[in-house]
Amino acid sequence: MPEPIQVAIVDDHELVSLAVGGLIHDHEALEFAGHAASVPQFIAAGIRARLVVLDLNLRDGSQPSENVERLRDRGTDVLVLTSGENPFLIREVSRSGVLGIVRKSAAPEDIIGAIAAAAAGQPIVTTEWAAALDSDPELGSAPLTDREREVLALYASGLPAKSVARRLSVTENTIDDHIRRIRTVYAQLSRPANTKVDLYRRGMEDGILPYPTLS
Amino acid sequence: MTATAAREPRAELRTLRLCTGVVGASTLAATVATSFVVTQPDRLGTPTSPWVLTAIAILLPLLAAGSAPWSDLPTLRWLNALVVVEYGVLLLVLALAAASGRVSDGEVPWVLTFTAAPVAAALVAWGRRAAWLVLLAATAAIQLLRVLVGHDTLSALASDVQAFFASLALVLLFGTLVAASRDFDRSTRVAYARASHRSAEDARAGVRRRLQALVHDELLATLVLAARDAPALRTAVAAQAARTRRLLRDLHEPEAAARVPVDDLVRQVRDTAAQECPAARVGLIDSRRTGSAAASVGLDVAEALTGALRQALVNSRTHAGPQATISVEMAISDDDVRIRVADDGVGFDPARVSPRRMGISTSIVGRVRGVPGGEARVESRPGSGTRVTLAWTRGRPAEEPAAPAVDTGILPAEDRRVRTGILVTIAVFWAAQAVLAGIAGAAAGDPAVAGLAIVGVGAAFLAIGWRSLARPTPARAWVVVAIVVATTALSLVPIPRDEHRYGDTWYVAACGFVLLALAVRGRPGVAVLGGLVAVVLSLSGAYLWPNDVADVLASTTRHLVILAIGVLLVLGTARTQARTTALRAEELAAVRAQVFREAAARELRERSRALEEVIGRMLERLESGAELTEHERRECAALDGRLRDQYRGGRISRPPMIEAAMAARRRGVDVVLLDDASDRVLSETELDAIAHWLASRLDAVPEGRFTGRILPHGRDGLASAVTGDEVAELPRTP
Repeated sequence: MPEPIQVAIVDDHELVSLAVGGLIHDHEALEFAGHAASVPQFIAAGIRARLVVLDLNLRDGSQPSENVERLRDRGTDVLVLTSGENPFLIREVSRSGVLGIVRKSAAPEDIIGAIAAAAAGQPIVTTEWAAALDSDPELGSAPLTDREREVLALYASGLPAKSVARRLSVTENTIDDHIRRIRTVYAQLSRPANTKVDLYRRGMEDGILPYPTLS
Repeated sequence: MTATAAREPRAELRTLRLCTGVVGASTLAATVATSFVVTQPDRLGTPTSPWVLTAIAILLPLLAAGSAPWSDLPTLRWLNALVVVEYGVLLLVLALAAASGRVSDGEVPWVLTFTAAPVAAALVAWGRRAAWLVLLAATAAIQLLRVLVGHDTLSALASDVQAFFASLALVLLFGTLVAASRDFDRSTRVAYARASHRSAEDARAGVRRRLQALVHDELLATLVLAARDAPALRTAVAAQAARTRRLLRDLHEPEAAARVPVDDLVRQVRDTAAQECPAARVGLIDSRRTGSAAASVGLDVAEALTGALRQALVNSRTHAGPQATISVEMAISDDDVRIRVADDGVGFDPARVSPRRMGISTSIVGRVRGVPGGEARVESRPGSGTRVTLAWTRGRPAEEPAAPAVDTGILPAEDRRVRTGILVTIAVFWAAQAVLAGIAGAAAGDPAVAGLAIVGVGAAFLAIGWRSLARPTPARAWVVVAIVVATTALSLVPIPRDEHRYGDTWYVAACGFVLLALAVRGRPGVAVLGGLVAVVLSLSGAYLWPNDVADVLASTTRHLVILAIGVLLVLGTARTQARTTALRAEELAAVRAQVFREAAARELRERSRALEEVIGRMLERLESGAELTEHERRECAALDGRLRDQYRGGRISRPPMIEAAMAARRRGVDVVLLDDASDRVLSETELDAIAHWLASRLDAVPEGRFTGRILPHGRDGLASAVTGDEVAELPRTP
């Protein structure tokens, strides 16, 4: 039996910490490392965890992407919990390298399933995440292939991974590859780039797009 | 709106009162001064003495002037109309007496030749056109009367020419001031209406945001976890329900509800930045000392700051250029909030942005300055980016954005009507003075002095500078005064004068007009000093050459009366304008505050009542800590979903979808509604079609999961619905 993975919660709702903490506690592969009401409090408390389950919109006025970055800087993976936030905030944290975005109103077994997968380092794909990305006006200029856009749109419509794979007649592993690349490309959007020209140039720098040649 | 109806702008009323007062005062001054100078021969042949006639003539102008400060607009107009009528009746009586042959070799009483009084009265009573008519009619009637009574000397003509010009200048000046005050009132009404409209909008938006924050922070998690009804959570759920109910009750207290915790403001700023400018990052310096929970700002302040921030971001995004990066910084302490939006884009020259352009001045600067304690600044230079600073300091009073105007004395800044008026005045002035110079030169037999005088008067008038209406520099004003003094000094020159003639020293009166113009253009002090020196000089002339005393004294009196009118008018108008502007700022702040308060209270009442109707009973039940029935648990899930839909569900969350989703969630269906495509514009018809289509599909789902979604911009279909493995799309209707 391997060592249980340490998972902590950063949420300023006592109730959520209690509920999600209970789920973590009951999971055999996970160990509840503690909870804090904000990221500075989490750091100050010296809680050690492999994964932090973070509330997207903390009431202390902190910026979600900053919270994610501070946690990741400490070598902690982040899974974000939301309760009906606007897509802008979801897009913002999606660019800062979270493992996934899960809504608090999902079924408890889905929430703990996502936490366990994230604790093992796996990215979590949810409809909330895919829909926010799929409708991002900036995505139009991102260097994604048609197939990748198709995968994202199917996820965004609410289909589970199995159905997406079946519809495209590919394996779930292939779908995972697409998702990984979508995540990488989308994270690139976090560097300040305000125009399509910039994105295009960055795409070339990153080797995603070929440099133009004279024909 | 009641708040604005009670506040009727009064600039026009104040200006008309001032005009009436100035005319009354100058009529009295002129009458008193003239009584010492002009001998009134009792040769009218009318039953009354000239003194009785004078008393009757000035009675009504004095009455009007005396009661002006307390008169409302209709009374003021009536009184002035009576002044005109009285003047007409007096002229008519005299004309009838003269025509019936009872007057010969007489003189027209001086007070009737002072046409400025009835002309100004006509202006106040009926407007500019009536004033012109009265001026022409009165001038013609006086000339007719003079012929009838056989009083057509050159000196009378000289007097009439100056009187005509004085009245003309008065009409133009008063007319301009009245028109400017009317414009001011109009813009004030627009400003009041706009301020109330925006304040009401802000209040409603602010209340919605407050409630959304409350629902999001307190309610959603409670309902989700209540739906699980785990015994371990029951106490915590009850506590959270109690807390939520308390917060909801607090919202009934408008004073408390109209406060926004500073943390919420920080979140709003971040949200706004994320929404308008996803690449921008908000840097926060938080130096609050006394703690977090208590610190709050007014709802109006929060709305003004975030609204202005949004506009500043939109401006930077659209105008800074594609290469620019935009940054947002926020600093908060116990007593102030400071937000700065900076870009390193192309920038612009603020001096070259027309003050009429609404964008920056209204939606950024005006908006923030309109709330108590607000201050905003826009700094930009071509090539070095733009920096917008929005600030709020506790306890600082509200202020009106200062109009970046050229100082033009009491005249309104550049305006075509004013320009035309000035051209007309200059032309008539020159013509009148040329006529007088001609008469004096020919009659007195010394054309050299007359020639020097007309050159002096003309040069002084031109020296004021008429290319623009900006206030003359002090040096320029002194040059004007020097020329006036030199011209008046001509009265010291020993030339043969005809003791029977009035008009040799016409230029002394003309210099009065020049100084009047100088005073109106914003240099009243210098004008008065110059006027006094000129009076001393002309009186010295009268002392040196006593055979011409009457003429010099008459000219000097005219000079003094004209100058007095000018100074009274300038000081009065400056005071009125300052008071009116200050009042407008106060009233605007009051209008905003009142409308905001009322709209916020109304919105709060309606929204919190609606919210309580939806969740009140459930919260009460949760607070009791009792075990929930299966039905109640589903109800909690349904309520959570319904409230959540207001955020992510956006435009989908409308009838009949709200009811369909409620019913489905009660059945145990996990309903997810997504409207992330904020850039996709849809008509009401399309949104209705989407809601109906989704509702009919959802109604057919017995259990499991349902995802309804508005498709992003650029897709073929309008919306999609997914149940289990099945995808359906609502096509765009052709």
